[in-house]
Amino acid sequence: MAEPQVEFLTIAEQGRLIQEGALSPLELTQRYLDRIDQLDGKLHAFNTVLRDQALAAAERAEQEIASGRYRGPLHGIPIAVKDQMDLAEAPNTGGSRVYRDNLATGDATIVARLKEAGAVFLGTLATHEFHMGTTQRFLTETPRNPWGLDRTPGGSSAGSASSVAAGLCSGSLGGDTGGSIRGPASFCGLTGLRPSWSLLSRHGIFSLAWSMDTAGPMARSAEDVAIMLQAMAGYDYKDPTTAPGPVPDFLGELDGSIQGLRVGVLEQMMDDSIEGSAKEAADQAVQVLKEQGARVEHVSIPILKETRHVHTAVVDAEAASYHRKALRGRYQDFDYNTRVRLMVGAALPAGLHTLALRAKALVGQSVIDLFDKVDIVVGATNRGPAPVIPRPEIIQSKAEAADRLWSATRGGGATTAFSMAGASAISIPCGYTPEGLPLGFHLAARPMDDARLLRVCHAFQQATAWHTRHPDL
Amino acid sequence: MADFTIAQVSAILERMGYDVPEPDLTEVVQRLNALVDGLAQLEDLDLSGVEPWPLPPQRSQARG
Repeated sequence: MAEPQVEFLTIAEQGRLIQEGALSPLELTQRYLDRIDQLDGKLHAFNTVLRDQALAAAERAEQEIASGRYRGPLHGIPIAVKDQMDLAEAPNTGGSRVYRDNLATGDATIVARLKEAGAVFLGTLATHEFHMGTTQRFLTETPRNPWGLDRTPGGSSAGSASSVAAGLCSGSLGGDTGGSIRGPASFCGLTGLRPSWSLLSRHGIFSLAWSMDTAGPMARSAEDVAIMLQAMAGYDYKDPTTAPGPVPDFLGELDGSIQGLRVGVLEQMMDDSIEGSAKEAADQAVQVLKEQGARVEHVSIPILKETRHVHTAVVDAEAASYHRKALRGRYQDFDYNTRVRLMVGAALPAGLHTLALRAKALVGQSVIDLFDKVDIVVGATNRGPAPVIPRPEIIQSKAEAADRLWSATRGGGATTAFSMAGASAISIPCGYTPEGLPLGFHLAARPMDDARLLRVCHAFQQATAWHTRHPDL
Repeated sequence: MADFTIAQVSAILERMGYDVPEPDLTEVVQRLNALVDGLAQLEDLDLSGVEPWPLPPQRSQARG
């Protein structure tokens, strides 16, 4: 069996080699930069590559490690950040022409913390404009899925998923409002965590919807996600929504049995709207948990059917408020889909917006109540594998608009229900279609139970090999 | 419930300082009407006592 290529090793594996002196951070960084040169012309995962800065940081890491100042498992590891977060010396565009020249003068708090842990930043990654997930005209080119170049990598964290899956970096940062980390992770065969709301600082990050946004790590394993989360989590005085108190030991709690774990299979994530291969893969994933001692039952959130439009009402209205000045001055610089959605958000009557906020609270509470019965709620992340990149369309009738709205809710809007609860939620690979496209398994835990969620995923990945596959480019 | 018309939505957006041309305006109106129809289903929910918290109170957050 051939040795795994170094660019597809996990952060944990690369970190061990770096610590032992068997892998050079400088050579690893150069390797990724070479692959970006070779492959990103067809993937369009990166918006900005900070070549000189990355090589300088890698050289510093190498010198520190050689002189005995090893910082930990991220020291010398090349990662990249969604073009939504401040990375000093790079433009933070939010994926928009409106902010094309918005050069970051400092780092977002979570970026600064990763730098402190020794990570090397390669650049910024393509995103749907303002993370809305429906962009027609991207800032540069349309991002592509390395598992099938005619397919979308998902959104909004498109480049964050595509880059890691293609072996262009070791891990990445994405952002998740209703599923923008978990969906792309599923489509690209990655592990992508939406951490509990308030666990990570949002300082230095473009907002989509204040009440639901969070950043999160995307990588090749739950262990890697835990490594990144450990470095980023914790209170930040610059973001008053961050939770005070000590940060859990995500890495220390990673190993351990899941014997007796109570698992709830969510009806709305396993119903007839889920395509056959995706449902079969998720069923088999449940079986893996059973074999490790989990007790499985079926759970449901019946109100998801009535509340599937709540996400759009809340998010588009909040985003319209956030961008109101730019919408007045630079309307035509916004992508067509973005500006139309924002105008809907601006025109939505306040009474309906407030009604949607109350329904959102009800959905969130319904999710929290599930965790009185079970420890983890699971299902298929998406209805199927990554679809072919859609063609731009203009809607001219209410029926078309309703159809689009229905399609955008992913059947029942289940991933966003966990966002509304502030829960910890993740997608991990659980299989492939006969055509070789990745499928994702969605797991969620009560807010601030991220350590348990990661332990379950780590146990799953110790028993399976889905997360070790990578595309043939 | 009658749908919003293009003239009504145009007037609201103009009053808010937005200059929305076609074909955008037609799509905004169609999407807005579809969303309002969708939100009508919320009337079937029992929302008594439910306040619009950004996040639900964590009354059952303690680990079991």
